[in-house]
Amino acid sequence: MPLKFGIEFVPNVPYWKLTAYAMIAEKQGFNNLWVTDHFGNRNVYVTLATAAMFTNKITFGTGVTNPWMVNPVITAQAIATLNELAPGRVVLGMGAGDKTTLEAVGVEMGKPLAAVKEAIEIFRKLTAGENVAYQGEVFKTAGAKFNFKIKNKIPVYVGAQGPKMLEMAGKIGDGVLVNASHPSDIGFAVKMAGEGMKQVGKKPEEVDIAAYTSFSINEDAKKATKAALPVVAFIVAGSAPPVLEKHGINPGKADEIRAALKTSNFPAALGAVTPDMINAFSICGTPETCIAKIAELKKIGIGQFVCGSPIGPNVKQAIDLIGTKIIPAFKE
Amino acid sequence: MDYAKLVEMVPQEQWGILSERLIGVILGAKNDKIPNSVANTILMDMKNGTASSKKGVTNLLEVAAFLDVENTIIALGELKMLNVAAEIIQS
Repeated sequence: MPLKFGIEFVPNVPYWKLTAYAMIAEKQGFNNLWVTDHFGNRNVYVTLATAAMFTNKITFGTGVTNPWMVNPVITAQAIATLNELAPGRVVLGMGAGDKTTLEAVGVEMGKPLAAVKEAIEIFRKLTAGENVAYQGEVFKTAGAKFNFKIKNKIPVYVGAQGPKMLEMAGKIGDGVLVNASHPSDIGFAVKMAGEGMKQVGKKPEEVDIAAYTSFSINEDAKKATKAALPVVAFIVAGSAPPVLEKHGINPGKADEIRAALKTSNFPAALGAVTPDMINAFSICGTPETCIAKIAELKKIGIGQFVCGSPIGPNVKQAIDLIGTKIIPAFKE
Repeated sequence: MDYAKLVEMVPQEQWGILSERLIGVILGAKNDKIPNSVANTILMDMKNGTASSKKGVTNLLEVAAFLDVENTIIALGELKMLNVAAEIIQS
């Protein structure tokens, strides 16, 4: 199977810019468009609706939403309505959410595994037209039903990083969005998701494992790397010591970056990012470098490669570069 | 500035490449404050394949010059459309 290519956009730019990027990505041969969901940015569903109206074939979805901020019934309603705008082109991306983000709005993140599993079950039942009386550990419904019909099954991708979530993603997901860039992390994810798939008798081709990477491309390697620095700095600052140690990164260095970011001292934060960190948490460089790294991930077993933020120092140029040099290299 | 007249100075076979470059300038501009109606026209032109029509390129040139005149002139220079760049500089 040819490798699929996805692209992530953050709606921190006006709707028309993101929509234009989506159109360009579709034209350049991307298969999937993922839009992040964070309350500080534009609303993910409104953004996706606009992108849906201006594209024809790209598949799109939340990359990712969580079960906490919005009741799963309303998430299902939003995705189902999008599916009416673009039938068969919509997927749900659902993960556990980010603790810091949830705390900022006073939402407690309890039982992430159960919450994600239950939210997906409710989503599937509702979009299948069922009257849902659901008694879960986290969510309860007493007869929720849509007054409209959804003609097709909407795939669900589970955002996962830890072993338990990855295993569950393999079990219940139509796809897995692995928030990682390094081959060792992707290898671990493929293995864990595979364990889950085995438990329910799924074949590898039944679950689309996507490497949701931090990606930056430019003909000039230095420019590509420079653009990746802020994203890598934030990833390092948010990573637990075992994750850093696994990649040979001194947690003390991460503390340094975290402290600099807390005081908005960006030059210090970016200056503390080392080549090891860039290598562990991003894929960046020239088209040739990126092709080699993506090929390595494909060999491990991914079905989709997602070019996540920052994509490149110049987003349009980066999309064009991926479309002309990267995607053709993986067409079988 | 009559942007339609400027577009007429460009050979029609180059409208496509000019349109592509201007879209790049517009998307890369730090200033993104344009009226919704103008933004929607650009999106509609991109969707309908009319971004490289005379009307489409005229709109793109005007928006690009408004949002980022420096990079618009650089793009025109790189495309060897120096007469158009000169008109914008003089305006």
